[in-house]
Amino acid sequence: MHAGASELMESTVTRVGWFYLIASVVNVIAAVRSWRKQRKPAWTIAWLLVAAVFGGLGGLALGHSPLVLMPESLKAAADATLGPATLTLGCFATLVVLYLGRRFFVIPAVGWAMLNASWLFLGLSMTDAEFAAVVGMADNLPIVAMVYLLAFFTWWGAAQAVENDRRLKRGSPPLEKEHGEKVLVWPDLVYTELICMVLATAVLVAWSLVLKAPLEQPANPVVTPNPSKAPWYFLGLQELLTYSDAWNAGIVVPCLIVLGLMAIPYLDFNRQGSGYYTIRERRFAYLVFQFGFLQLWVLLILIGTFMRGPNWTFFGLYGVRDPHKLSALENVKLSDCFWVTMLGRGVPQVPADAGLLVKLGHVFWREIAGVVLTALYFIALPPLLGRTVLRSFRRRMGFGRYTLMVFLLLAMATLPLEMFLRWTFSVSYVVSMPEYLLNF
Amino acid sequence: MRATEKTYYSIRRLHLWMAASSLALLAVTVWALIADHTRQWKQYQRTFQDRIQPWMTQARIAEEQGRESPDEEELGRLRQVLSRQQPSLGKRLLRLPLIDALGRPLAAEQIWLPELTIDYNFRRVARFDRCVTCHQGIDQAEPGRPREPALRPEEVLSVELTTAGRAPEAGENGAGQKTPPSLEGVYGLVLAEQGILDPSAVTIERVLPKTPAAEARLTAGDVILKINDQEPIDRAAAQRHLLEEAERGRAPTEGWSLQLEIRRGLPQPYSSHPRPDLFVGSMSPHPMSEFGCTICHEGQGSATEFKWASHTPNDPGQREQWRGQYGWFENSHWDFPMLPKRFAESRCLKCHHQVTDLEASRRWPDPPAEKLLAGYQLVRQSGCFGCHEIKGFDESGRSIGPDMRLEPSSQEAVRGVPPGTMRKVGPSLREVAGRLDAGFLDNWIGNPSAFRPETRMPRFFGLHEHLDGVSLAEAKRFEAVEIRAITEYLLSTSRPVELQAPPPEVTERPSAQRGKRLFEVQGCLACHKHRDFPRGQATQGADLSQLGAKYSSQAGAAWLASWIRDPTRHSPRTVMPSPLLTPIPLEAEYGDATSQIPNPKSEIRNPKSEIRMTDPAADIAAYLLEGRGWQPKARAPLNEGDLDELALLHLGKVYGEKLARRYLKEGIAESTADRVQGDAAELRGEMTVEKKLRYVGRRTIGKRGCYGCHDIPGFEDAQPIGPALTDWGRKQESLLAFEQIDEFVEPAVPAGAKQSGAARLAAAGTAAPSDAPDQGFFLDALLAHRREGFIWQKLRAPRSFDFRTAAEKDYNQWLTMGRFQLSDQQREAIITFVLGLVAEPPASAYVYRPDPREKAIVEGRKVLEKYACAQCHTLETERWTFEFDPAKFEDPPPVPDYDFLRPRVSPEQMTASLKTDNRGLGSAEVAGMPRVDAQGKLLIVDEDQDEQGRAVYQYSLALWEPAVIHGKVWTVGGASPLVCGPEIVEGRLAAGRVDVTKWGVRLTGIRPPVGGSLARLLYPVVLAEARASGRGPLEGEAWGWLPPPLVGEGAKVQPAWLHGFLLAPERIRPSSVLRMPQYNMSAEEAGKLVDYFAATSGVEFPYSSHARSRSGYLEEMERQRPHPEGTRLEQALKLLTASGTDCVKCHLLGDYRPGSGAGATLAPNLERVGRRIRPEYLRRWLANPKTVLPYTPMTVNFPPAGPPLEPEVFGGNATEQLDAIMDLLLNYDRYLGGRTSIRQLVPPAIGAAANRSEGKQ
Repeated sequence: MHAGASELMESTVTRVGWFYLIASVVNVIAAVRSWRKQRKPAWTIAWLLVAAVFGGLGGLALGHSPLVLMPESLKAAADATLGPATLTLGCFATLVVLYLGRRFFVIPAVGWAMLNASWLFLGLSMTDAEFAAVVGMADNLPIVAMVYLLAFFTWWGAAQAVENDRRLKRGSPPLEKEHGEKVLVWPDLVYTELICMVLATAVLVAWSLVLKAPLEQPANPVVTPNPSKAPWYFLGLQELLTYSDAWNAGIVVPCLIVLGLMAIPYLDFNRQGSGYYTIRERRFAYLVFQFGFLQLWVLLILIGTFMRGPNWTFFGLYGVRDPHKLSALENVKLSDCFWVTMLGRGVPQVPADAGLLVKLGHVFWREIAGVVLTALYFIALPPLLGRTVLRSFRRRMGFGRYTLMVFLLLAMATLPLEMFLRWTFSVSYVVSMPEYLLNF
Repeated sequence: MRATEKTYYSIRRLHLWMAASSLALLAVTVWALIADHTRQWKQYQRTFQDRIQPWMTQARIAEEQGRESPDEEELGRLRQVLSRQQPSLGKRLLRLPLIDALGRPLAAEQIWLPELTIDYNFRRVARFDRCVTCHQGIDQAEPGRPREPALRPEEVLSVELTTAGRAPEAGENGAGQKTPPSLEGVYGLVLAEQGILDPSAVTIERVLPKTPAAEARLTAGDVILKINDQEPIDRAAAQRHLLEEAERGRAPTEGWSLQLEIRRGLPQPYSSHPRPDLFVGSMSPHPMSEFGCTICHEGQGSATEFKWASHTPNDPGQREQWRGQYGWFENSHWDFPMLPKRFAESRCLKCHHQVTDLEASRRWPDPPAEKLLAGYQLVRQSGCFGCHEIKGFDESGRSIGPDMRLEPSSQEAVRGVPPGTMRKVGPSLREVAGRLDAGFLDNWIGNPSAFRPETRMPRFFGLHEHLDGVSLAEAKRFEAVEIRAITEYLLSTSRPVELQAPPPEVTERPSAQRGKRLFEVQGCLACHKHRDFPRGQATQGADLSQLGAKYSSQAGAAWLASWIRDPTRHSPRTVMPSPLLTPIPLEAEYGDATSQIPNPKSEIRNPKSEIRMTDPAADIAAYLLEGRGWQPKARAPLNEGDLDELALLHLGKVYGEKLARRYLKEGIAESTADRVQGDAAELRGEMTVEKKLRYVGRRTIGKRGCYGCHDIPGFEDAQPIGPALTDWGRKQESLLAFEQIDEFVEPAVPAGAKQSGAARLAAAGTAAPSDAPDQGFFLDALLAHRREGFIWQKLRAPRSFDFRTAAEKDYNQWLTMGRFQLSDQQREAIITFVLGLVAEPPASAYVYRPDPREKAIVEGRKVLEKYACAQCHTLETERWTFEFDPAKFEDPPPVPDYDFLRPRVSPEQMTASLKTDNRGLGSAEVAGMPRVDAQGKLLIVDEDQDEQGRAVYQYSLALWEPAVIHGKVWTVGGASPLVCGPEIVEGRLAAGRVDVTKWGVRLTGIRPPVGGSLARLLYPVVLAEARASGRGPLEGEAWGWLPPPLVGEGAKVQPAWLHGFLLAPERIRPSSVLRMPQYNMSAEEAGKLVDYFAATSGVEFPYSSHARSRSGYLEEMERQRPHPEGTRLEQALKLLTASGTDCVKCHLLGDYRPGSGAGATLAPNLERVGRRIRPEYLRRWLANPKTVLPYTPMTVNFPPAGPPLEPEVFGGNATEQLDAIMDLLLNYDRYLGGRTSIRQLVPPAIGAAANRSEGKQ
């Protein structure tokens, strides 16, 4: 643990060197391609420059030069800035910027530049032992791959959508219509599938040769691993547990997600944009998906995977995973805020040996603020929205469909709301009825 | 839409993609095959099968061929084996990738152990060990030598090769042609074309017998690394170099020699397990097929690659080497990492719960688990179990490990069955006020080693290396109070002492001069040390050099004398025996050196005479009280403010601060006293400083666990304070509080303002971290938060885990463990023992269950250890091994003797003794006592020098066991073999070489005796005293005045007698200088000892009887051999007392005592023989005493040859006379009974009445 750090550096820095060299070679290829196919000398020169930078870095890293190490000050600054709140807000802001500037970002050269930037970030960060340990863990490798795949497909989809939007504006059919989508089963489909099968097999065999199965010790009921992490695809839900009650995050939210996804076909009234990529024609669907999937699902998985350490404490990308790190967690219930802070009285006590109804009444009285707020949120907001922002929706969808959609949207919005309540007011539960296992 | 021939994708490009991906798939498939083919274990197996096995067989063939008469059958068999082992085409085919999946000859081998389960938390699952997959030759022993591994582990040695000292001569081949000189001709060695593992290594293929190479003990397979410090480049260069050196040998001196550095054996995983007779071998107690590997070694048995098997490096150097060589890493995911070599013995405890069964024995003379035993002894002697429970049973009463619980302090306190048996190691403090004053106690408690540097008591106060600032000041203030408080508590609770008055007949005042002599010869040195007697090195008891400074008061001095008289009176549980000292008359010669030789007058004393009597106990006490030289530090005045503060800390925890303050100010009123419980009871009534001190003292004793070692009033029912060690070896490392230890020990502490722990440790006198392998290993373990590191640091600086956390805690919650004075080695031994406490016994079939005889030995050893019997008595004699040249070794002179005295020698023993090695030398092992001179030093029979001017000594050893040397039987009591060797320093052979061809014999090894150090210590002393008084005894006779060796004691004495003797020893030999003291031993313990001796001597036990005491035996003998003059016993008695047989010249018999004999020549009273001695032993003894006890002065009284003695008194030959004497001695009670008439004592009236009542019926 202590003595191993230097050797880890040695081997990691060598690996980073090779990584840079590969990046350099790929950029040379990009330069050649941009020269021969696209005839864009400016880009060619730019990629050659990037290749030179990567090549130089690779050489330095292979020579174990300390110059390739990420500066400690940068690490400290990054760790000081990063927190669940900044990350979530930052992600939201990024999504907004990407959406607004989508026409710029889908330019291939811009995409390529962003990819290069991410490689540089990865290369620099890998020289940090903690980062290398977390990212290089055999379990986390698929997630790193997933990040890149997701980014690529989002970018590609957006690129096609932007192109189609442009075409639709011009009055020409979308790309998909123009090419016609019909292909022959043989050879087009079957042959391609066969090639994919062969390649996938080769990749899997190579992967299995290089990386061992990440098995750990036999499970011990009295010694659980610290942190105990769910499978990667559930880490988002596990992250939700930090903000919400187990019952809520573990049962209510997943059920609503499934129900909501099932309801989409019945809620969708937009007849445009079917069968081709477009943003302009399906703006509402696009934004809800981007926010719901990337922000509320993928980001939480990434936080759970890379940023949560022992005791489920938040660590910066380069922070030492110290099991003794203290993080102050103050939990306040809304009822406490209401009775104690605002009214300056004690929280009403529930008589212990009262009858069922009396007890229920007391509990409701205690939680009156939360209950009222929740009721207002779910009952008063939909008509209000229906008269203002979502008027056209209400008109076109009818009362039932509209109410269901708004309920689902509001339920989705409770997640960021709960997160913000926690960060800003340390409020854990709006309604807290532990007597009936109900906490929201 | 109609199908067209047009495709969406370009078919040509798809073809290219297909081709490329297929190639990729092919490439990864080939990669997979290569990865599989080059798997570590397959490479190991190929090397083992292709290179090592044929090599081994070839070497065996060469060895067989080199014999004088090779065994052709064996040779044929070996050749067949070799042809099977040679790599063949078929074998190669079968080892190709994929084909090798058939399972032979390459196969992952595993041992399936359904009984030896492994704990996977949710269930216990069968073990399967695949270790043999790589360690192929692990279970092979050398053919014919089960103790030697067939494939020796790798080692580098230096050997001396003698050259011929002349130019190498050309040889001649079969056709009569001259051939150039060869190594074979010059040295008798042949170099192999290729090395075993490394083809270019210069490897010896064959060594011819009786050549310089054989003389240098080179063997086939040795790799020559250096010749006279020069590295040979290759085989040819080595050959040239060796031949050149042979020629050069002519020049300077005769016998010029060559230094060769050689590498012998094979590296892991090829070499065999050491000591295959004990482990792994199929004939050993732990055969591999039944035990597997991981049950002892731990590690991941299912792994077939080095790094996954959880091998654990033994030191940082090895760790780095493994990292580079095997890609080793610390696998934290395997819960049972392999034990590093240094702790390999600890797992013996899993099955050997008695621990003493791991001691060296006749069958395994090399201790099987030396370090573990050392750890056990240290734990036993240091009293670790006083604070840390070591429980040997689980809830269901199943044995799970060694049981070292304290014995209960009272019958009521017995919890669990059976109760603990260990005694508290410290002295009882119940009457401490009667012997020690407050000044001494303060000093002693504060720092015991200041008064007694080697004390076993740990240091509890002044361990401040981990403290600084406020904590340090707090520690200093409160510790001063605590010391005072403990002293006050002990003194105030001490009970009054009842001294044992000196015997009434004593007339003389105590004399230190007499005391000194008595201290030396009365056996005190068996357990205690004193600076006046530097040769005594016993550590059983305390060093008594400065006792005068300890018992400086009048009362203390009186107590000491009383204690020596009868320790049990003062402490019923002490292990110190009562020395049974009786008053000694002050004679004219008392004052000179002979005084120690007991005088008959001390034996049979007339109390009415005017003899002036001295009290030996008072003399010894007077002598001991002279030892001073230590000055106590003056007591510092008590700071009452600190006392109040500390008392408040304790009291506030129970009663809250407010009430506590009131109690401390006013005391606890009697009216509310019944509400007060526990230690606060000390505060009842009016408040005084003493009461506060007593309260704090009591709390401190409870907090620091003083009662774990000492019997302290008020703590009879207190439980051990420390965490139990019962399963510490498996304790989860996450439960150990490492706290800030990293910063404390790591030399490179960031932010250099604070002194690093390393520097602190160094300043505190504890070894500082260094690059030493051991230190490095433990530091690594500590920083990696492994348990071996934790315990190491705990033993080194027990409180250092409080570093920086002390400031956060209340003073009373600081760590309290004291620091023991241990060397690095001792610490490691203790760690080995504690790591073995895993409370995880395997299936009951595997737990060691001794048979009754072994059990008796195991149990007996514990009693022997408890009472330190081996300090005085030799339990096993010394053993010497030597090699000899059969042509020059002299045979023993023939001795005429009785048939039944002749040793039984099996034909196998005889053949084995005739075996010679390839130098033509034989070897032998003999057991006995080396002859010593008057100074107690090894007797040098002769001394000479070899050519290099090195001294060669000749020693002699009196045999205690018959030996077979080169086909000749050497009997006990006969001639002693003379052995040459280099100097023997403190029982070890000094370095040096002795030329066997010249001297004929060479000592090669000495196994020291077990026990008897006191006897060896006193031998020169009593001899000198006897000489000074003008009585020069026979050689060795003085041994008879000292504690006798107990070798074969079980065969000598009758169990019932021994049992009685152990409980109430009587004086047997009038000539002995000291007598057996009376131990505070239970009848059960005495029984265990009796059984132990019977079991070790191989005689029947627990009961025995003999034919000669059966009823009817005497009548039968009378019928067979009638004696006209009287009964058989009468005649035997006449023979015994006749002048021709010398019996009564020395022996006492009944009320008879040889007239002129001085104490030293008096022999035991014969009337006890029948109760004491076993008949078989008696017979041998009478026939030839020296065959039983080589040093005895008793002579052969019934010579087997020649005419019988006193034929007119008792007819028949010597054997018959012997039998008659035996019958008399064994039936002496019956004989005497027959001489006494009871009838005359009974009044006639009663007799008549009895007759009448009979008549009525």
